[in-house]
Amino acid sequence: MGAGLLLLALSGIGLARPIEDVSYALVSPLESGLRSLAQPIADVVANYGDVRDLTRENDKLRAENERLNAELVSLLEEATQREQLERLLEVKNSLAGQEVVTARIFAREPSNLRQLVAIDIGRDDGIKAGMPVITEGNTLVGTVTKVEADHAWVTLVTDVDSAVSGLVLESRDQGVVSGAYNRRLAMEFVSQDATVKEGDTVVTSGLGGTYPAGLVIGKVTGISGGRQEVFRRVTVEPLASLSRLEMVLVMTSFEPTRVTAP
Amino acid sequence: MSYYIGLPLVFLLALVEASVLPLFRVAGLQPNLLLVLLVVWLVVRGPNEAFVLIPAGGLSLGLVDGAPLGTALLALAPVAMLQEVRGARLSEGGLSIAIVFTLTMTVVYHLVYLLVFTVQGEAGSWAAALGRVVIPTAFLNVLVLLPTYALVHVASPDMRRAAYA
Repeated sequence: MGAGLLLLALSGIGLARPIEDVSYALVSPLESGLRSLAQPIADVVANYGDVRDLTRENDKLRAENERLNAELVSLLEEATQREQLERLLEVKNSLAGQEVVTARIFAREPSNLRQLVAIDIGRDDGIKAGMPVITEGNTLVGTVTKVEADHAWVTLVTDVDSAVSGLVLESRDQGVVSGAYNRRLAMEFVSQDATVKEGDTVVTSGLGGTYPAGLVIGKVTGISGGRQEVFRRVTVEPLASLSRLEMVLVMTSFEPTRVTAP
Repeated sequence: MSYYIGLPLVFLLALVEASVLPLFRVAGLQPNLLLVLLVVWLVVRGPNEAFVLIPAGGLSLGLVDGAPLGTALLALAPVAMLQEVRGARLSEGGLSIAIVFTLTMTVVYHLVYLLVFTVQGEAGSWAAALGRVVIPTAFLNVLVLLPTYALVHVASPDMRRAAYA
């Protein structure tokens, strides 16, 4: 226990980083190998019997759905926000012009309490804490939170420590999308006057400067909070299949800004 | 079985927990395989080997998880204290004591993690964590315990002979 506390203290002040770097350099190929070996078994289990075809079709439809959703997001943005076109086009152009680096997920946080994934690029590849991580269809996956020499940890949007400024695309209602222990997303601090409805798309608002605006977060699946409550609470289903992600994109050219009080 | 099997096994299980088990999560949860093995090892094979395997397992898991280094070691350390609770005659309790220990240690293990995450400012509600993660995982661990106990028990004829001697 003493050794544990000592290591924890060393880790806290960064002195354990060389040990972690060396150990990860040694074990990450092993983890990748084990994961590669287990992946086919996992696929067989997941696709057992008749479910196999349905699963395959479901994956295909999900991919198609993500692509169509991305297109829809783009079209709705232009249709509903003519007055902000210039600004949004600027955002869109800036998103399109973003430099992204592909990364492979090779491990996940084994503790059920956190939703973290390890990616195979790190400080040596220019990765920094705070960089947003996305997947197909500009769908937000999370943020880089811990960077080592050759790998980095990404905190998923569903993690309890994750909070993203969100915007309902159709109604323009704003709130904070946060993770929970049940692996779902909740959009909090949504005004009682909000006109959000089920099926609406939630994107990043860009407020706070932590994420670029317009990244897709998910779909609204439920709305709660009566008139007597200060805010409404919106349940959001993540659009990205976070539990089965294998490859992600790190937005390396996005610099998070730290907003200070006026 | 000895350290030649135990040490590589705990290292392998730590890797499996981070790379393979997440592919087979049930309702978003995965069992703490290493924790279960250490509890079973202590109950079936006694404290001498377990006292070496527990820190080895904690270090191995700490090197592959996303928590600060030392958290896993700290979280698994209480398993060694079970020896004090039960005294020197652990193996007499058999499976029932292993189940009780697994349930208890799962809760303790997660509380340590929650404490560390809270200190870091990265934890959510403790009540939600207990209800949605810790308690369900404890029962999931018991399910995993059953085959693990059987395997370790069968693979320990030396211990069985000593118990009946």
